[in-house]
This record gives sequence, structure tokens and C-alpha cells, in this order.
Amino acid sequence: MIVFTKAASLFPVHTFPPVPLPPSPSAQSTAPTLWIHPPVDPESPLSADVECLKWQAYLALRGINSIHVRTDISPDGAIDARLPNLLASKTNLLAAHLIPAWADEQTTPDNDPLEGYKDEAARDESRAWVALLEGTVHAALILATPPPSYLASLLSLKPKEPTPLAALLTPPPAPLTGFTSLFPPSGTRVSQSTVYAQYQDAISALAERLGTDKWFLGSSEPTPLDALAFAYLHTIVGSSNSSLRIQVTRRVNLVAWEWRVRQLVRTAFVRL
Amino acid sequence: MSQSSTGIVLNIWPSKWGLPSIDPSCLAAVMYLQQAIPGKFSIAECSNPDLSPTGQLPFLTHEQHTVSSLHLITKYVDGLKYEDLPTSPNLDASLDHTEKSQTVAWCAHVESNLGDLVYHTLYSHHGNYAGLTHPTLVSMLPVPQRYYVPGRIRESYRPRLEAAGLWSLHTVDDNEKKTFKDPKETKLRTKEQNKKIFLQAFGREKVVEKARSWFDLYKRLLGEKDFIYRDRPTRLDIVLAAHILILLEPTYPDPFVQVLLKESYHTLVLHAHRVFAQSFASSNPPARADVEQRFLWSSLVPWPPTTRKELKATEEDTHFSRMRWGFFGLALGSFGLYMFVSLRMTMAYMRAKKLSGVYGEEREHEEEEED
Repeated sequence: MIVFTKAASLFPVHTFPPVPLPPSPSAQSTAPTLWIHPPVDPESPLSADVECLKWQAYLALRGINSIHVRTDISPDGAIDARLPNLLASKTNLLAAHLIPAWADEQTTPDNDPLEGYKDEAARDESRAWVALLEGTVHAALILATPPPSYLASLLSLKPKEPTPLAALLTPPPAPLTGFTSLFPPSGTRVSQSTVYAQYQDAISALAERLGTDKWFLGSSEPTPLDALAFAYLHTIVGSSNSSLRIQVTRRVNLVAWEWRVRQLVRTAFVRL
Repeated sequence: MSQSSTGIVLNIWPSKWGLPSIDPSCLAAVMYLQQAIPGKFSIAECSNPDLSPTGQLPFLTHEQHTVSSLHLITKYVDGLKYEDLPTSPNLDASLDHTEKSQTVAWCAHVESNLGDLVYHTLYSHHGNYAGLTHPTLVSMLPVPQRYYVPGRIRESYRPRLEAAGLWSLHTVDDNEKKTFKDPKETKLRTKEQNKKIFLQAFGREKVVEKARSWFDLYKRLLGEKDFIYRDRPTRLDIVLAAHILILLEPTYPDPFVQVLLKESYHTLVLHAHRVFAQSFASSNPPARADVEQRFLWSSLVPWPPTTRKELKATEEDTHFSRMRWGFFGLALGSFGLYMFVSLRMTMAYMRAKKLSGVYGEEREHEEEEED
């Protein structure tokens, strides 16, 4: 026992002094900071990820300005491993679903039962548009994302994650090996023609419903639906998939609306 | 242009519970075609979804075309022209632009949210699955598929329902199976049972809350009208009614959603029955296609999806054939490696045996010489 204590007392052999973090604007900032996935354009503060952009547009359209954005945080460091997160103060990090409550504290609380829509019918209709954007349009965006190469998928040691399309499509896609075969179910058989046909109809309907209005569903002020629509339209316009992009770019009112809202959202954020 | 009517065959899950099909998409497809082109199509009851290009029912075959999914089927039917039909097959033709765009959004809402509620009731709720959905599917499937297909179909809904927070809210009581009772264990079990009852009640309340919020929306959308937009059903009426009917008609072991609908949403119930009655009140009931439902050995092996029209392999086909060739390659490679290794080992063993034999003979020879 004594021998063991003596042997243990030799360690640590050497202790290095603590290394202070290099001073950086992000570490010194005390302003509210939104952690987002990095944008495509390094100069832009708008995230390339549609989930992060939704919340950026939401905050900007609620009239909150001068929010800092950080793009160097890995999702592994975020709450529930999902970005965006809002660092409201030095010790208060908020998950995405708590952002509306924080926004209420910063501005006049949103107590309007109509949530900014012109009437009850418009508020009800907004739920339908949200379902269309978060279901049909989101599925087309995911499908347009190029999959990893065949060789990379064979060599990858990571367990294969279930495709997010299985949680988005109704009814969910069938297994690639079919339901009735003796082979265990593997992969998913997604009908690209159905997803793209529904996407095409969704964008056409969105353009038709916006018409020449300033905001969706004839609201006089921006609503959460406008934030959501902007996030999807901006992501599609910046997408590398031309068949997806062309459905938006051929509709003048959508392009003009997206450009106008982009200016509003961009000015609300400061990139660190 | 007049098109042949005999060729249109709609393949759907079989009829049950007094409805033409057990699946909301299939039911909506039948009602749509019955409203759009009555007497111009036939129904084929099918319990093998792998026959469809997308691996899902419904799908429609017409001459050289195969169209799957409700969305594409309705679009395909909208494009057909019949000289002897009084109205256009497009049920939304009379709607204005705003109503048409609203229809797209509302259909997405119904299929997504009400669809989740239907699939929760049929597949996630254990009591309803074990008491109704599973026996129904088993009665429709041949041996051996009846032993594993219902479970696979149920599993396919799991990711979607988990994401919607509607999976496994009503847990199974495993303790019922145990027969030998230990007093300590019984106490513990009672505690667990109480916890499960609490979770079940909480889960049910959560589902009811969600269902209520969606039904409220549809109730306000319908108002006091017979149909949502016009004096005849449009696509939105049919999609909504198909989902409501699947919730209303079967005899569920736990009919809590059914009770909610009947007690609080009378207008939705009446609307669903009205759309159903109008669809099948026609003098042209849908004909049954003369297709024999029999077990196919080929269905036990996965085959790439085929469509009659598409000759060029899609990305999906390429991926499928790569995976299949990869599997065969791996199997052949493993077999070859096994043969090679076992051959080497056999040869080494034989060589060793031969050497030991020669060595033994030499030793015997030497011993004889010494003697």
C-alpha cells in the first residue's frame, strides 16, 4: 500500500499552466447570439439550413435587431444536438422552441388571438400552409440533397441513420426490399415523381395565394407563416438543384417577395 | 379524344368494415374516380403492395400507363376526356384560383395531420392494432406473408408517428402474461401498473387534444355547408371524408377517437357520410376487375420496381440493382473464399498426412534394417 502511495505521488510528473482562450469577438460579445449552421455565402449572415433560417426570419420579422450569429458551433454542442440555439445571456442558452418566449420578453408580447392574421379563417388557413411547407416542400428539399457516394456508403463505419423522408411523407415510403419478400426490410423506396409533382403544385399554389399581397394571406404585418415561407423560398433559390429552383424563379411574385424579405432579415443580424 | 374505359383498373387494399378499402388513400382514390369517371373504371382488390411501382397502394393501370400514389392518380384522371360524361373528370375544375391553391394546402394538412391520427389509431394504439388491424391484415394475406407483413407495415409508420409524438402512447401490459405471484413482486407490479395506467391516460389525453385541434379546424372550414366549396364534392371533400370514414366505420376495441367525433363533431360525420353516399349513389357502381388474387412465389424475392411506361432506369432502379448485385457479389465472394480456404486446409492436411506416412514408412524400414 505504501509502495503504491509513493508511486502515485510521482504523478503528475509535470503540470502545464492553463492556456487562456485567444480573445475573439464571439467570446467577448454580450449581445444575444444565435448559433446557426454556416451559410453558403461566407459574407451572408443567413444560414444554409432551413431550420436555422426559419428562426432567423422569425426573429427579424418580429422586429428584433442587432442579433449576433455564430456559425462555428458544432450541432453536437447544441441543446439536443440541434441548431439553432440562442445564447440570450452569458449563462442562458435557449433551444429553438424557447425562442418565441424570449422574443416576447424583448418586444411587446404577442397576445393577439389571431396571431397577426386578418381573421380566424386566415389563421386556420395558415396551419394548412405550414403543413404544406413543412411536409411537401421540405421532402422535396431533402430529396434534392445529393446522397453520399455508393463507395462512401459501403465504407462508412457509422450506423446508417433512417432517412428523414420516412418521417415526412404520407404515407411513409415502403422498404426498398418490399413488404412481402422474405428479405428483411432494408432501405426506402421513395417515389421521386410523386414528391416532385407535389412540390410543383405546392409552389404554384403558394405563388397563387400570395398574388400581389405584401404578406401571405393578406396580413398587414408579417406573421410566422411569412417567416416559414421565406426560409423555404430562400433555401430553394440558393439550392444547387435546378429543377427545384426553377419552380420558384419562374414565378415573379415569389422572387420579388423573397428578395424584399431577404433585405429585412439580413439587416437584423451581425455576423461575428 | 375518347379513351378506352375498359383498361382503367384501380388496385387498392381489399374492402372491409363496410368500406371499399381499409386504407384512407385507397378509399379516397375510389371515391374520386367514382365521382370523376363513374362506370369507366374497375377495382382490383390487392394485398400485395409490392406490385405497385412505389411499393404502396393504390395504383392505377391504364393501357401502357401505371400511376401510383393518390396525388398522381387524381392528376392522371383529371387529364382524361370522355365525350359521354356530363362533367369534366377534374372535380376542382369549377374552383377559382384561390380555392384551388387553398385545396392544395388543406389536402396536405389533412393527409399529414389527420393521416397521422388514422395511422395512430390503426397501427400505434396497441389495443386497436392487436384487436382489429392485425387480424384484418392477416385475413387478407397468404401464408407465409401473413406472419410478417402486418408487422412490417406497422413498423413503416413508426418513424412518422414517432416524429409526430403519436407512437407507443398506449403501452402493452406485459405483466398480464405472468401467472406465478410473489407478494413482493405483486406490490411492485401494482406500482408499475398504476404508472402504466397513468401514462396511458396521459397519452390518450395528448392524442385527444391533438385530434380536437385538427377537427376544430375542419369544422370551421366546413361550417354549415354540405360541401366545403361547391354543391358537389371536390378533391378536398373526398380526402377529408376518406380519413374521417376510416376513423368512424371500423369497430375499434378502443373507440376513443370515434366517440370524440360522434359526440363533438357531428357536422364532420354528416359530411363524410354525405360524400360517401354521393360517391356510391350513382347508377354506375364500380366494377370488380377480373383479377385472381393468388400467392406468387416471386413475391418472396425483392424485385426492382417496374413501370410499364418508363423504359429508362431511374436513379432508384440503379440504386436497387447495385444493392442487389452487391449482395450477390458478397455472397459469391464469401462462398469462393470459404471454398479456397477449406481447399487449402484440406490440401495441407493431406500433405501432412502423406509426409507423416512416408516418415513412418522410413522409420519402419530403418527399424527393420537395424534388426
